Amino acid sequence: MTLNAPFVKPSVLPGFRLTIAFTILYLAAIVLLPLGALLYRASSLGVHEIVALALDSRTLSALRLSFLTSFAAAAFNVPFGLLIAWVLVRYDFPGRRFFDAIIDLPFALPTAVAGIALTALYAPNGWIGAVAAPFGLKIAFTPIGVFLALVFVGLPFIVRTVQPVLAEVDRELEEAAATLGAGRLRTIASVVLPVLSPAILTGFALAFARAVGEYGSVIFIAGNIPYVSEIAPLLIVIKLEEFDYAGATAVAAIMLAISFATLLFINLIQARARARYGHV
Amino acid sequence: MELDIRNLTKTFGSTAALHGVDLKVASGELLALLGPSGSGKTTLLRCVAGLEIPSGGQILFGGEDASLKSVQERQIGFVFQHYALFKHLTIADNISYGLRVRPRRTRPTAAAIRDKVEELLALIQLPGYGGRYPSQLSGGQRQRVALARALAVEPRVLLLDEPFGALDAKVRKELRLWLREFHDRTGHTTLFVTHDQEEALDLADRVVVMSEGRIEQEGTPEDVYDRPATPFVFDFIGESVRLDIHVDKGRPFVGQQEVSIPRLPPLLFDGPAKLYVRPEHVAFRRDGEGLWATVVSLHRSGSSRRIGFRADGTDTVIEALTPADREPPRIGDRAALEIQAAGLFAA
Amino acid sequence: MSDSSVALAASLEEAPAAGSVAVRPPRRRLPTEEAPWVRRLLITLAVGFLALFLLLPLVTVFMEAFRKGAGAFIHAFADPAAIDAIILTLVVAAIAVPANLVFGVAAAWAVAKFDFRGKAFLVTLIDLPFSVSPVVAGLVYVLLYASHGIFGGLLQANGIQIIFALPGIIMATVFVTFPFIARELIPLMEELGNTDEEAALTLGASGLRMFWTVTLPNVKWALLYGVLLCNARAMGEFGAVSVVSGHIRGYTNTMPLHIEILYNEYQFVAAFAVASLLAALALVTLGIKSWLEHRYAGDLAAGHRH
Repeated sequence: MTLNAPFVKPSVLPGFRLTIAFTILYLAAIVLLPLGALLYRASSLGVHEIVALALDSRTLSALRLSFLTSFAAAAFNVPFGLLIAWVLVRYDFPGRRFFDAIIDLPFALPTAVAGIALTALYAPNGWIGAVAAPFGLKIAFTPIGVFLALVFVGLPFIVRTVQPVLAEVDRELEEAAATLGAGRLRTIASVVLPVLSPAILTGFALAFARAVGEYGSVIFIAGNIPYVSEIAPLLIVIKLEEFDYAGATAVAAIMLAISFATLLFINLIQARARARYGHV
Repeated sequence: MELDIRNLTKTFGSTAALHGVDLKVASGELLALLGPSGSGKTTLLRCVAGLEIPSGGQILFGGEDASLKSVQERQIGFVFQHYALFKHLTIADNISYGLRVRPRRTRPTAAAIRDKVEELLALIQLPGYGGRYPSQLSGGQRQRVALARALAVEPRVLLLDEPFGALDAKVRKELRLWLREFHDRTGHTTLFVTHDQEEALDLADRVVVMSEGRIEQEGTPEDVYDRPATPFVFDFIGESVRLDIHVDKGRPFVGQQEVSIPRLPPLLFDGPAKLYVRPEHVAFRRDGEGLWATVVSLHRSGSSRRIGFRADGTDTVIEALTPADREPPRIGDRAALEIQAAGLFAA
Repeated sequence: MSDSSVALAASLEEAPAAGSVAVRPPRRRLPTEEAPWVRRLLITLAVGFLALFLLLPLVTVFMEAFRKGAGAFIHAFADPAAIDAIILTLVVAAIAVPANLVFGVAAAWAVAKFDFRGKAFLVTLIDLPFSVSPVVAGLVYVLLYASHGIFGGLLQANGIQIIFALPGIIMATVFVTFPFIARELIPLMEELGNTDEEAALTLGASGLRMFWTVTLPNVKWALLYGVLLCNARAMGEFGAVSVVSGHIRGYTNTMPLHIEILYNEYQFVAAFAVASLLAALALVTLGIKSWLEHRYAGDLAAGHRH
């Protein structure tokens, strides 16, 4: 687009000025102004002070816990999300529609509800916790509990990004591989998985980003023991309750930076996939 | 490798796609399966490939029953209408795919694979394209790569499913000529499916015309065009007009007039019948013997002219084709038609 | 049919005829299908995983809520604080959802029907709240409107309270549920194109009339779906609301916050009873969504992202 091109391409449809003005105003008031406030606060702190605040050992261990468990949960969800997407797309079985609908449960169920339910389930006297306890395995109030809550939260991201792509995979590709002598497993590994890989990476990144920021599902099961099972979002809440706005801002700024990096990463994957495979 | 298909049937649920098809393909032959969509031609091809499981019958590859073999074991080369190239692999990796997936003991060495890819790239006239991706190639180039990929495994039979179907008209024609030359050089037993009669007649050694899961006629392109065996083939291949006539004591009548048709076998029935006539087999004179008719339409199309005649005492319009530079009759003129060739079938 | 074709024509149940030369049974599996046992195994694994990780927590909510019988369940709602929380939640959703509905329709109209500079950037900004932690979403409003915040002094001077009050809760909820409706509408409206609207205009319809009679009917199911998702999320939002609410019982406690308080006071049955209401809302949302997708598969844009 050249510089002297008009801002909007002429159209016979009415209402552009009104709707675009309202969209931008609303966006500015609800999203941009508040996020701007955070950036303003963070910039008045300066990089040096943000790093200093974040290097406090309690903050550091909370950030480490958040990132490690989020990464582990997203990684754990990749094979199972793939399996579930595969089964839902390729096979017909009784209850398929029910299980397809239930995938979105972590999206629809309020996080606090999920949080107390998971805690009840995995606590030493809960259904699963009681099974694990005799083996000396403590789940609730440990990083394992945090991990399991994040698995719950992240699963739909993988399934829902892979599912439509898998449904679109051309059966002829698999037939072509078979006529060339490739066995079923080989065909799936060398023909289907590469087609799915951008969607898998995107789903992974979405699940990871969501997990890092997750609060409600995690705080009940985490037990919130400083240095052990305290997550980064909780630290923001604690700092706010202590009126330590600078500390809260520093942690938030780091988390926001990670969110944006993830978003950028997702866009990069998708741009690369488009450029490489094109629309053949 | 010759191919022998015996009494092949295939049903999808309650609908039958193939009703007991018998077909022999000679070694090195280029055979076209021609028919409208839904005629079962693609199903037949996919059964031969092993991509579809027949409901009954046998498929013999060089006398050996392939029915029990999986698609991987059949050693066929299959080319899909939409190429089915692996988008995430380079052209070279696409072509060598069938060699690389072989078990270690039958897999050629990396160097042998590289040589084979180079050889095939040269054969399909795309040398130096090995490092590109399918999305960087045109449709015609992609289809040639798909052919090279199928040939890399040294197939016993080459199967092409509407190979030019996704290409535009000009590329189609070029690739068609190229494939004919290519076949003459390499000599693979080849089956290809098409719904385009021009393509089938142009390209094939032998044409098999299919309709509703059955073979209507098989023969050389000349046979199929000049001597259609059934009303369907008359309708489907080339242009023809259908006349409702009747046969009385072994003699055909259009309305009240008897028509003489050369080379017609003796008619062993009486009653209503259908006569199929191609426009180029209708000649007309202003006087003399023939089927008397009135000119009802004139239509110039390119280098020729179509003239519509209504035979006396009928509603049917018979078309004749004449060169455009010949002086045309006028609408309402009377003429005597001579039918030089036609097919006659009991109604 | 010749003898040699019997092997293939044999019915599924029948073993190959005696004396058959076939060493292997005929293949009945397509090359793009897995063996039945593989298929069964994969289905079992997937269903088992879903049952363990998704169904079990859901069942737990209702089991815990009714652990001490229906009486205890009902008793949980005799608490005036619970009723206040339910009312507050309904009020918040009743303001946040229509606000985002108007925004979603306006944004979708501008983005989907027109081509303008910076469109891709605008869409990214609309998606932004998806990738911000709810706690951070709450924090940004605190930084802006709390007494020590950027506008704190100004607000205090005029006697306006936003943080630890209803306006803050509503703002945080609007932020978190901001993209839902726009996200459902934009891809669908882009796919539908402008031809229907242009046809309406050539037939003499006014702009508003065209919108009501042509655009809206085309997108009504996607719109309903977006509203449902937005509503479920608005009623269930916890992190962002928790940060801005101040947890003032009977005044700034929404249902999720009330659940937290009850839970931390070891009133498990009451906590799960309130939770079961929200879980039921989630189930209804999912049920309607599944029904809409099944019934109007073509009218909803594929490949949702939440």
